[in-house]
Amino acid sequence: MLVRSAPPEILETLFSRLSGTGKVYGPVRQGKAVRFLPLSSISDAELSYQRTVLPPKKFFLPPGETLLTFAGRGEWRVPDEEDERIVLFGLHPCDLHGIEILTVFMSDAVPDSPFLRRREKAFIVGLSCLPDDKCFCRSMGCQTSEKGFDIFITLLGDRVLLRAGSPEGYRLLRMLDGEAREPSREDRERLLNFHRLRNESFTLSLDITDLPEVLDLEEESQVWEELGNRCFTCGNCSIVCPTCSCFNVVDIPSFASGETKRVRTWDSCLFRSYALVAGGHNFREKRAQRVKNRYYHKQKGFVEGFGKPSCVGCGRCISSCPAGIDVVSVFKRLTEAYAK
Amino acid sequence: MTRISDNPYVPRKAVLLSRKELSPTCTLYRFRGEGRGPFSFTPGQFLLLTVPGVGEAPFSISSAPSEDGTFEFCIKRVGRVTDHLHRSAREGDVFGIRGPYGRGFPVEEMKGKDVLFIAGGIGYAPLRSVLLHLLKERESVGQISFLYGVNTPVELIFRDEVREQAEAGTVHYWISLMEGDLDDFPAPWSRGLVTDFIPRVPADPENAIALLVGPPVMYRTAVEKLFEKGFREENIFLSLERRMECGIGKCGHCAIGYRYTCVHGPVFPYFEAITLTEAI
Repeated sequence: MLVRSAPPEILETLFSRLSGTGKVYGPVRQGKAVRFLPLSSISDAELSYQRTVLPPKKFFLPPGETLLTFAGRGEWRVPDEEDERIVLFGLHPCDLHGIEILTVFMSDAVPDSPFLRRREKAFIVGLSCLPDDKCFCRSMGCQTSEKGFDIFITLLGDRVLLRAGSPEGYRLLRMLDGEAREPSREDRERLLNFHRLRNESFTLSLDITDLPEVLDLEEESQVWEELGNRCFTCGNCSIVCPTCSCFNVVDIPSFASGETKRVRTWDSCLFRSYALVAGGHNFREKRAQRVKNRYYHKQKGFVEGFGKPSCVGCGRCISSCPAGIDVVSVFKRLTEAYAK
Repeated sequence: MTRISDNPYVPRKAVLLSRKELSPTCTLYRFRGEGRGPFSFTPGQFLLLTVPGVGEAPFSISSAPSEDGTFEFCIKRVGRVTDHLHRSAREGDVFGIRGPYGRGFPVEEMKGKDVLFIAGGIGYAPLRSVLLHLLKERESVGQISFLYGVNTPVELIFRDEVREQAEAGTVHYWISLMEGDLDDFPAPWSRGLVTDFIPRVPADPENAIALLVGPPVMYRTAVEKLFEKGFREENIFLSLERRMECGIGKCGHCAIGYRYTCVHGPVFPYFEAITLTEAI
C-alpha cells in the first residue's frame, strides 16, 4: 500500500484535485449537528467532527428514490442514470465499514443495481478520528479500515499520512508527490502514538465473542419486555444506522402530470406497519417483538448470514435515541444474566 | 465487487388473457409473460405483479409450469392492489411481472412417494401448481391425498377441478368445513378442522411427503398430528407468507431470523422453519 507523509496544507491540493473529478461532500457543522454536505473548499469541512447525523448510506440508498415512472396504461420507464461523479471526503472507519457491509448485502443473491452503481462511481476519502463516550467501534472491529476507501487520511498534528486504497487513489497520491514524501521515522512514531491514544480513549466496549449463542438462549428474556416498554419505536436508530437499509416501495400518482412514480423510501423494522400483511395480520404486533427483532438481526441474524454483525459501533443509535436506550448496556444486561 | 447486471426492479410485461370468478372474493387470472426468453418456474415460486399506477404485490403461481409462457394467479381481494385488480382488470390489459422468485416445492423429491397436501382456504392456490404438475405424470408419484379446509362451502375454490379429480380417483380429497354442507360431492367431507383428517388419511410416513399451505395456526396443529403419524421433519414442507416489497432479499420486510422468505423461501422444510424465530 502506498503511504505518503505531508504537511496539512496538502489537503487543499487534494481537495482541488478531487473537485475537478466530481461533486465533493464532506462533514459540515450546522449548529450542534454535523452533516455530510457539499463542500466548496476544504475549509468548509470540520475535520475534527465526531459523527454526522446521517451516515453516508444516504448517497447510495437515497431516502426517497424513484425506481420507475408509469405513464399511461402498461408503459413504464427507468429514470436516467445520474452521471455526476461524487466524492465523499472525510469518512471515519466505522462509516467505511458500514458502506462495505451494505455493499456485501446489496451484492448478495440478486444484486441491487441502483445501489451498486452509485457505490461503484463514488470516490471515497477516509479520515482518522478519536472516539467519544458513545463510540464502540473497536468492539466491532471497525476502528480501522483496510478497504472501502480510495485514499485514507490520518491526521497527526502538523503532518498528515495519506494511504492509497485503490488504483485511482494510488494515481492521485502519485500526482501529489511534489508535496509529499515517504513517511519518516518520526512520522511512524507519531502514527504509533496516535494508535495508542485512540485505543486508550475508548470508554465504551462490548464483548461480542459469544453473543449469538447467548441470544439463542435469551429469546424469552425479560429484557425484551422491559425494552419494549421503554422504546417509542420511533425508528431513529434505524434511520441513523450505517447498515440499516430496509425500504418500502410505494406508487405515488401525480394528478398534474398523469404519471405515477414508484418510489422506495427508508423504512424501519420498529414501525408497527413493518410486518403487517394484507388482511390485517401483523407478525410483530408488539413493540417488544419489534425491538428484539432489531437486536437479533444486528448481532445474530446478520452474523449467521454474512459472518459478522451488521453493527459498526458508530454510536449514532445511542446519541439519537429519545428514550435513552443504549445498545451496549442492553447486550451487557443479557450477557450478565447469562453469567449468573 | 459483484458485476452489476440488469436492474431487478424493472418489471417485464404480462398480458391478461382471461379472468374467472372462483368465489365472491377469489378470482383466477391467466397471463402471458412477454419477452426475455421462455418463462419457467418451480411450483411454489412467486411473482411480483404490478398493477401500473396502483402498486405491486407478491403472488404465488397457481398453475403448473407450462411451455407456452402462460401462468395463473388465484387472487383473493384483501388489499389495495388486489382490490384494484378485481374491480378493473380486463382481458388484454398490460401488467408488470418480476420473478419468478424464491424456493418452490421439491417436486423432484416427490417421485415414487405418496404426497399429502394440506391446504387452508386460499392455501389451495400455490398447492394447485404442484398438484397439476404431478397430475401431468400421475404415475410418477404414489397416492395423492388432499386435505382441503375452508370456512364455508362458497369458499371452496376450484370446485369443478376438485370434483373431476375426485371422480377420476386420481386425487383423494378430504374436505372440511366450519359451517354449511356439501351436497352430492364425490369426496368425504365433514365439519371441523382440516387437520382432523390427518390421523385417518392412509399414508406411509416412511415414504411420503407432506406439503402444507395455510394460516400459521393450521401449521402448528398439522405438524403435531403429522409427527404423531410418524412423519419426519425433513419430509414436511410449508410455505410462509410475509410482507414483501422487493422479492430479492433487500427490503427486509420478509426476514425471519437471518432468512428472507422471498429468497430462502417461501417454501421451507419444516426443520428450517422451526429454527427461525417467529416463523410459525
